[in-house]
Amino acid sequence: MLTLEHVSVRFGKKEVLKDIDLTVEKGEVVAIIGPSGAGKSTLIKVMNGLVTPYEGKVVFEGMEMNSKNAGAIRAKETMVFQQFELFPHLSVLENITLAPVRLHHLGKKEANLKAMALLKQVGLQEKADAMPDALSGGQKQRVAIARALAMDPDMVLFDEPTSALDPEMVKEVLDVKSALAKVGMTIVLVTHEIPFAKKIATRVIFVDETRIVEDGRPEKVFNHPSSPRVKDFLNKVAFE
Amino acid sequence: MVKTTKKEKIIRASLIGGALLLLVILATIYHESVWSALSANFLQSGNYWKLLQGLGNTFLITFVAFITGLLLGTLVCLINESRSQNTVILILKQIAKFYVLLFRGTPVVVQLLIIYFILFASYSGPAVIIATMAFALNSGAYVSEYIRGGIGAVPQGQMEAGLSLGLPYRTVMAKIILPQAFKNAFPSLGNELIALIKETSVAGFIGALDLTQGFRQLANVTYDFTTVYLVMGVTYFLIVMGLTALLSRLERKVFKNANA
Repeated sequence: MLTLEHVSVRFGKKEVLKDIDLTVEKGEVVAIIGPSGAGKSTLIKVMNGLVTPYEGKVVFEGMEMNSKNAGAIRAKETMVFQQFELFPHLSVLENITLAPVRLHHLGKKEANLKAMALLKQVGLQEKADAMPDALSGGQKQRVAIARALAMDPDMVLFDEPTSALDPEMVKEVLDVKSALAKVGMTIVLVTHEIPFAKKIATRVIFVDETRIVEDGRPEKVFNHPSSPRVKDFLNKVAFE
Repeated sequence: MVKTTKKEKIIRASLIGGALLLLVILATIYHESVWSALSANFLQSGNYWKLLQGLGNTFLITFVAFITGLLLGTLVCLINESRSQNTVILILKQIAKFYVLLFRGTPVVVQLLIIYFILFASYSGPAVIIATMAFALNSGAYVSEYIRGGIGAVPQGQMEAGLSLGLPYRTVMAKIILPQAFKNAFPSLGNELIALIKETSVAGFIGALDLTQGFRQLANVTYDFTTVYLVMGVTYFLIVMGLTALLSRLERKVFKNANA
């Protein structure tokens, strides 16, 4: 479904990702873990075309990503951001309907109905007319998920979905994502929540210093990692 | 914002009260000579028609120049912000940068004189039109910078979030970034409007009949410069006060809607 071939990314002179090869299949729930600054967020932005690699290519559903088709591809693999990035000048409902209506994906009426259904799914239908500033962090996050789903994507990308949330709000967000994983949505998420990754991921990728160090089923990566770097990281995380 | 303390309020009220009292006393003593001075200058001379015309032109120049400058400035800013590698856009970008540099780097009076006496030397229509154009060009250069600042204050993630939904750059700019940028730039744009209404007082340099020019022509007939120029000052002050009050009401509305 999504393939990265020999992808390398540089910010100025700094090498951020180096020769990444990765294929995500339909229905997989891929958790990307690793220390801060390892290039996890960059990796997920490359998948969405927000960061352009200087070498290698990104292929989504048979289309090689370029500046012309990036929009169409993004609509099929939407993203949820670390800081939510709701549009503060638009209501919750407008945040969700903006893209489907503008891209003529849906008519205005259908888009509203769909948005209400999605809000119900994330438990926020009573907030449809609220402005984003009036929402809590967890609610913002759930609206951001509804917004990403409104385009009927084949894949959803999450960038550190819980790092900007209070611990109490983490659960309500994780529940929404678990439900999503259960219905077979293809998901790639960057996360610090190792227990959560264990619970919903079908595959775990460990990124460290611009490279994929470990890639496999969660039980294998978490219980019998082959790289000492991963062992070390998991030990430290377990302590916290 | 610093909250006004009780002490500050008392001092302000007593000073305003004192000034008003002084004014009332002076008016009672001198009301006859004040009245006769005013009526001699503004009623009997028959020149008030010129004043009204000047007032109208000042508003006309200011508002048309402001709206045109707003559109022009937004356009210039969008060209400057564009990351396109299209040759035409890249050429336009250099022109836009030079335009901003030029109009921010010279006094508005100089721009007015050059446009009227050099660029439009053979033009014989109303000077008000040239004045409006010059002020619009001048304002556009400043507005483009205010909007650039407004865009800069919108978090980078907003653009990414818009793009990540599949929306094209143009739509993200128009529907997500610019509305927030205008809100951010609102106070600066308000200042620009107020600066503009005062700056237009130099329109007389090219013979346009604005408010200042109206008062000057009047004074040249009555020779009572003291009365005429004092009234001129009060008139500008009242206009600016009115405009400021209007803008702060508008600002409250803009910011309230955004945070509701």
